[in-house]
Amino acid sequence: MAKRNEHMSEFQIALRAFTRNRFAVTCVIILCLLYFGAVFADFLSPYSFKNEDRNYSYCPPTQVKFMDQGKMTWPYVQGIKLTFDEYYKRVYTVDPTQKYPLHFFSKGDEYKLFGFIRARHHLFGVAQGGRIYLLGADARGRDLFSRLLFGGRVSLSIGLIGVLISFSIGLIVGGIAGYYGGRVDNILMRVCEMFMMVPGFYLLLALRAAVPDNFSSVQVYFSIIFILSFIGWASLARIIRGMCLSLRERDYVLAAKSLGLSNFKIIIRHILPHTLSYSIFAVMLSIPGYILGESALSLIGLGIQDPFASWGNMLSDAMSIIRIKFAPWILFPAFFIFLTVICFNVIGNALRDCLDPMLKGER
Amino acid sequence: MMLLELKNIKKYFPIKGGFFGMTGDHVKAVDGIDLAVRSGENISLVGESGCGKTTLARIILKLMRADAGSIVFDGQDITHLPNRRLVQSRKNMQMVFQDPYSSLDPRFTIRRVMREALTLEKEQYRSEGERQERARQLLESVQLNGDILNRYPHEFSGGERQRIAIARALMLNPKLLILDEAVSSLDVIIQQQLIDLLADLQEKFNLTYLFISHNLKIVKKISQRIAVMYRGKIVEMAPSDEIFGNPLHPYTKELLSAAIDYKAVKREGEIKMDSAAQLLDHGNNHFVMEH
Ligand SMILES: Nc1ncnc2c1ncn2[C@@H]1O[C@H](COP(=O)(O)OP(=O)(O)OP(=O)(O)O)[C@@H](O)[C@H]1O
Ligand SMILES: [Mg+2]
Repeated sequence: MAKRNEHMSEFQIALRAFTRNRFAVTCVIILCLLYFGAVFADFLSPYSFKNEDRNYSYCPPTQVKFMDQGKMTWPYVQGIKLTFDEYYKRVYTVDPTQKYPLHFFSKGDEYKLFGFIRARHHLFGVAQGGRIYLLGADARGRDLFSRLLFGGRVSLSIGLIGVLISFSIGLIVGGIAGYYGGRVDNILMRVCEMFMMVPGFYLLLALRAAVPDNFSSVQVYFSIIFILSFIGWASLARIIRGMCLSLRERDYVLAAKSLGLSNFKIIIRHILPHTLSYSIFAVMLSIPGYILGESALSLIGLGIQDPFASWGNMLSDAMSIIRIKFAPWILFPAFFIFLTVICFNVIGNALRDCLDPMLKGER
Repeated sequence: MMLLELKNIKKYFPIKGGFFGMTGDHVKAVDGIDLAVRSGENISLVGESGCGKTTLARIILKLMRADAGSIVFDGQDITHLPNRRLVQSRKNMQMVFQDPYSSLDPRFTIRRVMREALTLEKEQYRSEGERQERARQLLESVQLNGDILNRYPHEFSGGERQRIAIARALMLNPKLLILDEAVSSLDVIIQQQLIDLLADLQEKFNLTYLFISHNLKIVKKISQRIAVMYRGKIVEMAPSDEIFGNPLHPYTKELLSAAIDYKAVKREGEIKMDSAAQLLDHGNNHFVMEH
């Protein structure tokens, strides 16, 4: 099937160059997997984020066995026995006599897929009596793998929604200031500077302190998004404004004006789209800030509250070196944060590289 | 009948810099211009780079506010009209911009460019088919194939883009077309073709041209009347053959010799410009600034 798209704008041509960057494409795939995991967390995880069993506190990752006495069998996990050594330290030993075969599409904790479809089936699970901890367990014996998937929902979505809000504000404010110029520009830019003056993290803390402490998790979630985008929009607005100042002098903008287009239409059609090549990688490069911001808040206990999971508050478990030594797998959330941040940065930089020639024309 | 009358148009740009940008210096981009354009005529505005030609064109199109003076277009004083009441005059005057590489939005296909040009005439061309028909018709009248509608501006050469810009400007069927250095960025052969094309179009669509250029040689063929501009003022204005046969102002002489051979230009000191100088009538429609 020959697709007839021989005519492409310069922007499309530039984006095509992006797909040739293997490293960046790999990062896109990784991010897609992470987001996929977050969206289908209910189904992909063997347990719900609340499912705890204190007998398995800091239980190490369970091994899935494929061999039984030298023969291939249906995969299974072995039972785990908890004992204490002479210092009353927990020691988990594998009990080879107990075998719990792996079940696929097994029934487990009930959940609502997409918030409204009631379901009990999980991608995998183990037979009654056994427990499977692919990435180990946390202090309360909850499955880290499941919680990472659920935590991804918070951590990954905060970046997207936050960026969406602050970029909309930034684009509108920057667009108006840049296109109209003069006094409007002056006032809007002074407001931006007020926001940019305050060091981000302290503003974050101050704003968080202003949020009532009896908020539910959902309310906390949205107030964190609000706070983060409240801080983020100003710097973008300034840059967009600078671009618009020069864009409005373009002949095609003047042509549109002399053809009788309204100012609103000109901004929407001829000015803001040209800031897109900048915005698109600025978005990518600023998402990590939101993810890290949420993690920082949750890490120090001001963000998402237990039992709800976010990568940040899961990491607060790892704030003691002794615990890390005893159960190094509680550092997994940090790894995921790291991975996500790296991916967004790589994609952002790759986009900048391929859009830069265009951008030079649009500055 | 006069189509366009400019009276004492002025535009000063403040020079930024100094202490808080408060130094009172100005660039006098346009400094008291009087110009009357008859309906159906072809008048040229000639002057060196930076003398304020583009600025004047933008003021006429109301893309920029003049600091002083009045603009009467088609019998209507449009000097102080707000944007929304300019619809009628916008339909009747269009401009072809100086730089063909920035006058078409790179993100727009030619189809969108042409469709957008009909914004003010939406009522008249209701269906997409009618609009495309009109676009095709005008593209063909500037000798471009009608089937380029799906292409993007970067796929065209400078000369082709300039033609697209001309076709776009004609979409609304204007009376006055301002051509800002419409042919300057092109090579000599294409220039000649485009000039011939413009002459044809003028006849075909009953257009009035205000032709802006920095080169006297180009305008010799097409213009009946030439206004020579220098530092924001018109220093000499006369019928074409008068300018070429009997140039009176030193700046015009300089331009003329430059048009023949740029090496021959020698400037004996600065050309003096008295801010109070007046245009004097030398008969034969020949006006010269005192010098
Ligand atoms: N927006 C602006 N702000 C400040 N100064 C300006 C602005 N536009 C033009 N000028 C100045 O006004 C003067 C006249 O500019 P203009 O563009 O009208 O010249 P021009 O005759 O069209 O020259 P060219 O032949 O190079 O196009 C120049 O000195 C220019 O620097
Ligand atoms: Mg110019």
